[in-house]
Amino acid sequence: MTIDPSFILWPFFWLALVAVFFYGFSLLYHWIRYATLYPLVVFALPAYLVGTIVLIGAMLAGIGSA
Amino acid sequence: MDLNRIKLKDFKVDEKVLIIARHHWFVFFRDIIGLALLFFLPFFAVPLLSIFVSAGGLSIPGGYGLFFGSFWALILWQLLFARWTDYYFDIWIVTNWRIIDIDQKSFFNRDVATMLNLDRIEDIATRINGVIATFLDFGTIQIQTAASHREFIFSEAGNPRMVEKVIRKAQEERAVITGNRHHGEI
Repeated sequence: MTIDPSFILWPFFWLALVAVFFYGFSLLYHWIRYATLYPLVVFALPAYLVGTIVLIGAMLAGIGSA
Repeated sequence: MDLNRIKLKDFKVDEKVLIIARHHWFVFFRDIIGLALLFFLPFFAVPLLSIFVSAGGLSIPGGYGLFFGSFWALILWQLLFARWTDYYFDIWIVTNWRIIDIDQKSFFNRDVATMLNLDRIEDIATRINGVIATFLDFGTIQIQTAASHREFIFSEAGNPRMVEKVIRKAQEERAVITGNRHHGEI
């Protein structure tokens, strides 16, 4: 029986996802709730989301090619 | 940003925002230098690790590098925006009535308080200290008041002299209105 080497990557992936969930929720909550006072949120929000999605995708690509 | 559109819950009828003072961008830049250094850490650490691993006759598959590189960048990406939120959400709102201090201490820990009414101000001072602060124009605004809490400080504010000027002008206008009311002219 052999163990897929990418097996050890999944715990890190879920750990990252939990961190993203915590930070993502907190950031989006503050940005959306107080948006009227903070105009740059309009730029920060898409930049944050795109960066996060790209990096999660890169992690999955890493698992796929490990 | 249209300041006239800003309305907080307890605004008075004729209250309007004159200026929003923030910390200078250099404060944020200085805060994230550590994160930038951490970001580049794997670029030095991974080749070194590869040398040690290959010396032992092993190799690291490319997918692992991509995975852990992305993992590292993702964590730093979250911290970067958390720092930015902390920096950007920390403001003084100067209205024609008062100064409101919004202090974003951390996530879900936000203080919104009327720091002082303009007619309570006794003196305002601006301190610009150091070469970088002088070139980039940021400094500390210090307000002395007649209230029990005598001194209010906004450190490393961007364009502090302009903020001081706006506060002084608003204070003078407030004093005229208050004086007129006392004399029964309004």
